[in-house]
Amino acid sequence: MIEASGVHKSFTDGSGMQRVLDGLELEVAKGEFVAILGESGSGKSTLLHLIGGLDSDFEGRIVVDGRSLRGLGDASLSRFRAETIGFVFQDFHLVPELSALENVALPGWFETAGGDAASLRARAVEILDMVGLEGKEHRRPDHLSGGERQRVAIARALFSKPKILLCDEPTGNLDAKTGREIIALFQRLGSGGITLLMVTHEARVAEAASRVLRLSRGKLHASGSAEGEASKVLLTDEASR
Amino acid sequence: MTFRRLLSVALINVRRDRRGFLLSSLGVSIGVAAFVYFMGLGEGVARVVREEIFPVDTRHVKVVPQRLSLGSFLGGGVLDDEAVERLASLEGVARRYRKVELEVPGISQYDGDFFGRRVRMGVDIMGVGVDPDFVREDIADGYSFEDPGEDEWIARRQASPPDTTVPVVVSRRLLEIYNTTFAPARRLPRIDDAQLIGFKFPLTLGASYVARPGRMSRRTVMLEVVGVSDRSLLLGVTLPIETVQRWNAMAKEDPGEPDRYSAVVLVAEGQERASRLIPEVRAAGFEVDETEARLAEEAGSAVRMTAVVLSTLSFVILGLAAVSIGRAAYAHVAARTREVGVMRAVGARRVHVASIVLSESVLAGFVGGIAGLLLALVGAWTTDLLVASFVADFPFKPESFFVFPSWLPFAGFAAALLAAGVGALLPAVAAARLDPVKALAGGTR
Ligand SMILES: Nc1ncnc2c1ncn2[C@@H]1O[C@H](COP(=O)(O)OP(=O)(O)O)[C@@H](O)[C@H]1O
Ligand SMILES: [Mg+2]
Repeated sequence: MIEASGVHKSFTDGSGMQRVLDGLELEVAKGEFVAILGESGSGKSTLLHLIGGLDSDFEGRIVVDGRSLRGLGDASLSRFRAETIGFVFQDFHLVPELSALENVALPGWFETAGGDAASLRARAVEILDMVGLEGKEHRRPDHLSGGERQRVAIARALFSKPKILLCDEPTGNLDAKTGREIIALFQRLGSGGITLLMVTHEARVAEAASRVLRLSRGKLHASGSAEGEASKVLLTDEASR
Repeated sequence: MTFRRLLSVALINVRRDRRGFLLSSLGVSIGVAAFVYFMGLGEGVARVVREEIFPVDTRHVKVVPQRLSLGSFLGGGVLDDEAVERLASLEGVARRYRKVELEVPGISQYDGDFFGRRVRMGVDIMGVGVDPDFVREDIADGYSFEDPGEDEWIARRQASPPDTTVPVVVSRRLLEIYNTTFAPARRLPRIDDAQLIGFKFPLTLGASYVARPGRMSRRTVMLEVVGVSDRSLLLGVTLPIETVQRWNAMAKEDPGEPDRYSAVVLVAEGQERASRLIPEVRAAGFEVDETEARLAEEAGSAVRMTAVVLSTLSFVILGLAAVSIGRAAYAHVAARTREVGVMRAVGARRVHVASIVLSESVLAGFVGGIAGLLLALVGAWTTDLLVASFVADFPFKPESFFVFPSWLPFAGFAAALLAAGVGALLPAVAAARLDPVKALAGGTR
């Protein structure tokens, strides 16, 4: 489902050029739940942006669902994001003035073949039920708990029935218990056939995945025992704070 | 994105910042209102000038004899019967009306009841004779505008007015000036067209307060108003042409001299044909009197110029509204940068983002445009009401100062949409250009 090889990505700013991804290789099969562990600043978000088609300016090869992403134009990239990818972010990125329902239906605004307003609402209600928010469709984000907000964000990511869900530190703003509930939701979705790629700096969170990879110095490393690697990452992470 | 969906998104965004939306709409509405109000005022005043102060029929060509006497030496330039028929036979001339000035001086001495008030006055009267058809439409029902013949003279000190009167038509403009200026100042009653019809007053020919009376002996006739017309002489009376010809002949040394006309009005088959007639008339050795047309045109263009200057002001207002809409849109984009990132992440294209920013502003233009049109109407109505109740009458004071041609609301509305669209264009482009990754980070990267 996801194939990346020889991916290089660097940023240039005032202080000079910084290589963030440096010959990265990755392969994710359909229906897999892969977690990528890495320190803060190691390039996890950057990698998700490339795979999700938010940024097509890189070197190397990334093929997602049979489509090569490098240098794609606005129209095809947007279409790719709309049809293939669902994003879940650390800080939810909900629109504060819209209800849960309206937030979830947001992707419907841009669908070329979307149904009418009523069918969009029906779909949004269905997905909100699926993530466990029945009865809270008309609440605004500020009347929802952190975990509920992330469920709304996940529902929004699922709205267009994507093949791949890309999650950037989805539990980063949640307490441990709520984080576990969200991860359980991901596991449930994964068993439903969706491909999940999650990045995190918390080993505890990565454990839930079917496979854990470690991102450091611009490359991905297999992590034999998830626990061992995870504790290492946790330690360095602790130290880097 | 379909139009309906875009509209519903725009409405959602309006709901999110109602105050900003109202302010944007307000700016536009003031600009549109000013534009429509001043253009309507200009058109309305221009209408009064065109239809009431200088009612010019653009198909009319008024031919007068050549002023230089050289023309007459060469045999051209004199408006006699032969010349009139030659002019009337020019291609495209549908009708012709001859005019003869009254060359005999005359005065009117009035001493009696004037619409319920006793009046004594004496005034020199000027007169012009016209082909009766020229003013036919303005002759009151039951009256005729024909030369009465020879027995109109009344003896001095005759007790009651004679049966035979000479019909005259007076100027509508004169009546208007009398009613709004003269009558109030002299505490005389106002009179309308209908009251004036049938009014009789004497005319003594061969007498004058201001000029040498000439060699004609004094005679008095009784004039009777039979019509009020835009086509009548402003300061004087308009008589049947044969009457004037007879009276002029009495003063002539050689009564056998052929008739000459002071002017002939050619009626062209169309306005365009009329303008092409002018050079032909000149080539035939005559002059065209364009005084009325020129006055009308000058007054009309002065009015229109004023309207244009005033509506330029409204464009300044609209420009400022556009700038404020642009600023509001920039502020929205800045405040919603992450949201733009989210929209891009869920599949929005650049054009979608731009359309959303634009649609919100254009909606403000739409609402502002409609509000502006209503505001202009209310303003016009209020103006008319205030002028009617608080401003003293003046000549040609119309019931409404406004005429709204059918294109005007569309133009005002289009200006509203344009101002809003242009104002939001740069912010829309800026929002569309946002890099999605940077937008998701809140534009801080
Ligand atoms: N737009 C950018 N311009 C410059 N540097 C960037 C930009 N985006 C990310 N970086 C840098 O790239 C590195 C990786 O960033 P990121 O992918 O966000 O890390 P992570 O998500 O693992 O914390 C960081 O050092 C960050 O400063
Ligand atoms: Mg990150």
